[in-house]
Amino acid sequence: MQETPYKIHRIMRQLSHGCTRASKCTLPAILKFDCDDSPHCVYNENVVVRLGQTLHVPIADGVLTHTGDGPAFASLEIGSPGLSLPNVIDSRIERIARTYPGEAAALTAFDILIGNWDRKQNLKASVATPHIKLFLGFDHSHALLNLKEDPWDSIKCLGSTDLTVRFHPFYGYVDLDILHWWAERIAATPDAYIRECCMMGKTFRAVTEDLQEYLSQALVKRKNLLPSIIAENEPTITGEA
Amino acid sequence: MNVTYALIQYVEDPIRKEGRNIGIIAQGFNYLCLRMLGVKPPDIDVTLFEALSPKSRECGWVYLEWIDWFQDLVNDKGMTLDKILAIGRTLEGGNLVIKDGGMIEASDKGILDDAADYLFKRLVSQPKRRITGRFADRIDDILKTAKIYYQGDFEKDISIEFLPVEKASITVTLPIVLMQKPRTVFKVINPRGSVDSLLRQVNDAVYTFDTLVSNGFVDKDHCIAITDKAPAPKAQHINRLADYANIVLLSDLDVVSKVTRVVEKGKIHHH
Ligand SMILES: Nc1ncnc2c1ncn2[C@@H]1O[C@H](COP(=O)(O)OP(=O)(O)O)[C@@H](O)[C@H]1O
Ligand SMILES: [Mg+2]
Repeated sequence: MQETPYKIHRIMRQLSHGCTRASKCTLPAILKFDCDDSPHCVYNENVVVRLGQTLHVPIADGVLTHTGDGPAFASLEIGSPGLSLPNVIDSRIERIARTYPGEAAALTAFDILIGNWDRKQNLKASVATPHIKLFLGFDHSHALLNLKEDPWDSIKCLGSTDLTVRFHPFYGYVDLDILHWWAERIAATPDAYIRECCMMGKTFRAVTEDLQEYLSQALVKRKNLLPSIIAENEPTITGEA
Repeated sequence: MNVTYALIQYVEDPIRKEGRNIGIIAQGFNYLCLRMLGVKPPDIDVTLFEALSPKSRECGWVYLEWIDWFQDLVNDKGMTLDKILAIGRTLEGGNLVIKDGGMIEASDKGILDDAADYLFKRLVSQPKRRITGRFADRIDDILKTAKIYYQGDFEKDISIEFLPVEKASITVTLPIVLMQKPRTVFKVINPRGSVDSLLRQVNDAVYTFDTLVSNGFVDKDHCIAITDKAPAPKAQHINRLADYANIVLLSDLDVVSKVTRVVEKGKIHHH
């Protein structure tokens, strides 16, 4: 059939008036406390979120909140209220790394920076819904000061050239070029920004200002060494070691 | 032959812990077999899950991730029901849990699929699709579930002005169009108002479909009239549309696959 020529016009919806219509709401979150297994959990989680936001690494947002026991950390729930996303299982790691090469590299570099050896299971990513891009890490209770049993040992470890993260779900799958790019990018962050992420301006729960100061020094050192730490440990990171 | 099975439950409120069966995993004859609400390969319709409760209404896309997750889980080499139940224990406290179901006796000559179908039918009830919320929101939901919303050629709220040579121009409006050929056009007819209002909508839809088809913009099989069940006097008016388009009712259980089928294949309208 012959097509008649046509013009298309868009019908614009009327916008609501320009006020912001602020209103109260509640958001689902996972509350985390200090515990025997992770005695500096709240401090760790809070500092890691600040670092992640400073470096633009894909981790869940979170805030400090108050409970009867003092400050606790609320990690904003990833997913939809009413149904949370499934945790990652081994057989999906490769697909996730393929779907999100940039995010996977960013998170791997970041985990090496903060000494997080507990990434497995602590990641949510959508793979079946093409129109929803979602890749976020969470749970940083075993990094930073809780890397070792004693916080001073953790600081010593972070300040060294040790890879510290022996196993990581993205080892063997991460794109090395992008990983190096992230390491350089993190190394280029001004030292003062890293320090500001670590300092709470007072003793915070069991974390004294001394601990905060030494941690920040170790992290600054580690950040600057990150490209060489990653370069020297390529066999482990590529899964060939 | 014994078939053991696990139940997949949706727990709307994890504190109350009342789960509702939404799927089963059966094991027998050395295989695992998964059945989940809304999954009829290759079709997946998450609106059934969304119809479960007010809370699940916004979660269709997360449910889609869970379906994919469960499929990966049962297809994993060396996976067994015991291992799945162990993974299930880590889900406790969440909205989606896996529970030990028990065992049934299946005929030795049978196949696992039959046992799985039987269990699914017995244990998972199909929710009634409730029409809640605004009519327009429901349509948006269906377009999202059918992935029409995310197609590059999707256009919303446009008017089309035909410019026939040496004749006056004609304009029609369309709430939803897929522009890539073969095109699909939608008209929406909301039956909830007065009979007069319905009549106006039906007349406009008839005129629009007729104009679009006679000007070669779309073929009749790719015209969709989205509306809903209505009592007799209104239904008569709606039925007039059957000569011009595929009528799709919002309350149809298979509304999403109907729409998808028309978009993909084009379908002769039915009565
Ligand atoms: N931000 C978040 N979004 C969604 N789920 C989360 C989030 N944080 C935690 N969870 C869920 O809660 C569980 C426990 O939280 P997590 O921080 O991993 O603590 P644990 O130290 O007990 O592993 C996780 O396995 C995950 O399913
Ligand atoms: Mg965890």
